Amino acid sequence: MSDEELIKSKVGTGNPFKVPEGYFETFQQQLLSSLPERPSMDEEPARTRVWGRARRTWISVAAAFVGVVVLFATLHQMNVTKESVALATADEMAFTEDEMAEYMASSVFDDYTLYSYLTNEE
Amino acid sequence: MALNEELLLRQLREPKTAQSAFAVLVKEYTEPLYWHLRRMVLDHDDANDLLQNTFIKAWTNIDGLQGNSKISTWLYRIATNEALTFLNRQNANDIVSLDNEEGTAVNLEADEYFDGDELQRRFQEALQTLPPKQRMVFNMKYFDEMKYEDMSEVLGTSVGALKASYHVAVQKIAAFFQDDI
Repeated sequence: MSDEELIKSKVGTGNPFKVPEGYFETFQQQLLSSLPERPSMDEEPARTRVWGRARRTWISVAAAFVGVVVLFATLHQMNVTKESVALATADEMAFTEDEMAEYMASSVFDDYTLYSYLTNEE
Repeated sequence: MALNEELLLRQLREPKTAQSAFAVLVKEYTEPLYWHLRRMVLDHDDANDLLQNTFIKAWTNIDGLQGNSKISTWLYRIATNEALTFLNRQNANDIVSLDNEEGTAVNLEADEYFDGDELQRRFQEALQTLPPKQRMVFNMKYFDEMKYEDMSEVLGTSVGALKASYHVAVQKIAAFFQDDI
């Protein structure tokens, strides 16, 4: 016989304790009628929690928007700078089509001389 | 009646249904928690106080109930902590001599809410010689037939340690009865 079986054979698993009559029913009624306020049940903290969550979301959205704006602004500035450099160079080194056409029309070179000039023939 | 724990948990967390859901909880667990406490502290009035404390703490700390915990083990954990705290405080304040081995038996004999015979009184005396937490393990296994896995959640102790603790407790109590033979 195991030790546990020995104990059970002597005293079993019954309950030798008693309670006053009607104790459990009375207990339940008294307890439920005297429950304190639950802090987590208040609306204010719930609103704060909701507002906190919404505010965090809006801050995230705003931060993302600002980030995108800054990025575009930076990229735009970079393009403007490149374009300005390109235009400046072009201004210094290139003729427009109209300017070329006018030059050709007003050229004092005859066709032969012009051809020679263009082909570097002497 | 088997409780739908998931539904009950949702209702406990919802302000509109929390009170009625808690009433269901109280109705379901008053008796098992009471006997869990009574076997530890022996006195009815002490068990009643601890039971009230247990439910009030449960009511004010519903948020502490995690979704993966059973409501029963959560309640037993609160009750167990109440009992152990009470017993530690009682031991610290106890002015009864440690040589007075008949203390518990004498108290139970005079207790109008104890209905056991002499063998039962001596059984309770033997249980009182166990350290409080070991006595808790013995009670939960022997009387409540609680699974070790559930007990582990209640007491925060590994299943292996609980099995060992119960084995030792049973040996001690059985030796007490063997001395009687």
